[in-house]
Amino acid sequence: MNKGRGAAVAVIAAATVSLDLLAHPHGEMWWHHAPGFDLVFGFVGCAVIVVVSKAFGKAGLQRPERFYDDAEKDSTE
Amino acid sequence: MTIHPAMVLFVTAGAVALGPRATRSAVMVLGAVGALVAAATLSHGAHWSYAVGEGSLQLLRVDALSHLVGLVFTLIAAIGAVYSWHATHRGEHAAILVYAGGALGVVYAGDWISAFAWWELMAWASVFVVWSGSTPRAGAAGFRYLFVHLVGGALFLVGLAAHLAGGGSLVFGPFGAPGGWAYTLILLAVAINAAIPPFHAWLADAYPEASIPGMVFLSAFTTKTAVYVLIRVFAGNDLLIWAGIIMALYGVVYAVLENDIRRLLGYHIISQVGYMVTAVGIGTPLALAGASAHAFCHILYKALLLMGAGSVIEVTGRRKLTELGGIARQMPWVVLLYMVGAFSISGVPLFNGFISKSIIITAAGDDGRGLAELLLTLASIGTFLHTGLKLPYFMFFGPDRGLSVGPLPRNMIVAMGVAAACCIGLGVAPGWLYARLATPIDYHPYTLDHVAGSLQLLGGTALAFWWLLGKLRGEATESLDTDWLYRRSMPTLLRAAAETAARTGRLAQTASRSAVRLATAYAANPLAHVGQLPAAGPDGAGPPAYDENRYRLPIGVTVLWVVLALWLTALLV
Repeated sequence: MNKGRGAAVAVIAAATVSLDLLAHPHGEMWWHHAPGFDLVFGFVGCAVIVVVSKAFGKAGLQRPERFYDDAEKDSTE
Repeated sequence: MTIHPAMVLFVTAGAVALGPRATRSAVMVLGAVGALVAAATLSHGAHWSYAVGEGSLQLLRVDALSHLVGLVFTLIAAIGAVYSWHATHRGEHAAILVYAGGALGVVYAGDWISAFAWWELMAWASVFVVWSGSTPRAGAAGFRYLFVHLVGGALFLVGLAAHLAGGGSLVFGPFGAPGGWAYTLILLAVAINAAIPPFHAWLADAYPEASIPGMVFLSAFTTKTAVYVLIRVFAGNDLLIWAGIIMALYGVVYAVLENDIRRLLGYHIISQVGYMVTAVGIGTPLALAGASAHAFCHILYKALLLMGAGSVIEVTGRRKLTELGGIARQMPWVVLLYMVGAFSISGVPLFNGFISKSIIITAAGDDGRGLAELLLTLASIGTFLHTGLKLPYFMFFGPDRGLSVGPLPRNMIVAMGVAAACCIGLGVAPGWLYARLATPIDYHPYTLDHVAGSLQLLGGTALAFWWLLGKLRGEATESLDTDWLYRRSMPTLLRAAAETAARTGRLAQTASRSAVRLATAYAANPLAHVGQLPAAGPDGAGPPAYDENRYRLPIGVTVLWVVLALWLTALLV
């Protein structure tokens, strides 16, 4: 990661987390009160979604294009 | 004056179908705007009731909920009419208007029988909208769509019959208590239309095969009418909480795998409707308010997103991420307007998704459902990832494929502009929407911790997107979904069944042919097959005068046949 990108990440993180510290969060769950929780959750959640979905795809959900069209052609032959 | 908005649309449909080509687009827009005005001017409490037998049918019943949903349905019909101004087709647009009218019919229906009739009309009209895609794929997808919705309609009808036969009320409203056949069957029928997995595959299968404006209309009505029925009839059913959460995440997973831009957005319809279904399941006043507010906002931003993606298909003729990219400079307005929709669906503050989705997530937390809250937030991350980052990046920016971009009809931009203005307007001034919800809520979306949390979530997602960019490129694949059952395994099963039947038939034919051969040989001369005494005497000296034994055996055999026949007859009678 180059310097510009690193700086951008740091700015986003610092700006949004500092908002958290200014706010008076209300809510019953612990994550409503943990500063920066949403930032981490966003990052980790996004990575989990991509990795898990791709794993499903590789496990058999993804098929070549025209999968059904070819099947229909087979059946009429 | 009270005018049923659906009737305005039906009259317009007639005018579009029969009127001259030159005025068709204008008639369509005028009719849809007329319906919007009719919906806006309906006063609460207005109703049209007709006594039939012991009960009464209620074609129009206006309360806060039906007023709100009717308003957004007619609004999107008007926006869609503007969007398709340059290419208003006789059959397609008449079908669209009847379809929209059917949806409005369900919304304003006050009794179960009218609701069912409109429900069916909606299914039949919408299949013509799918078929109007006018490709072989659209034809086949339309038949599958029809098959699924006819099954749904049959379930609804049987459930309704069970409800009425059991002495249930004709009033279209909540059942006394969950459970029982009527409740289950009608819930199942509504689940099909709401696209709750595993009954959802028709949506991603059929919608992207419709025409460009066709899908904009389709995205608005069927699923949201189902959400309306869920709110009205099934509020507080715990099962729906998890069904909705699974739905919200299911759509996200498939969106990662999808390459077709409109199918990707279709999976996000499923995901977004998941929030509403969860909210209906939670069933608190705040959650129900969230469900109807989110349905209202969703219709607007989803139409905007589909209009944006449709514009890209209109000018490039391509619909796959792997074939698109590098066109942002050539269509800056579309990029800008699409991004308004993308920010809205992603829940960016100041856009309308923020002010409705957050109600549902807060309602889940307030109800002590922490896990539900976190999983819905996770789905929200997926929404921003796909609709807000991946799709625009690979569709508009991304690798330049040297695409030549044709001119975009100006009416498309105008329609998108109106939808975008609504999205931003509601995001900035949510009070307008909150004041029109069925239950008054005391909810403030713009608190510092809400805004900070949302920005962090979006920022975190954007960082991970940036990190995983290489993995997110579209892949030229199709994804298997539950429609595999009726597209692949059912045909195989049917083929096997047909082959077995054919083989059995051939076997029976051979067997019966040999039986006939045997029978003809016997019937030609039965006497030849029974023992007779020789006609001549043993010594060959001519026939004896009389031999009492000569016909004993043939007569015995005949009597045996008669007895057998009588016995068989007795058995059958």
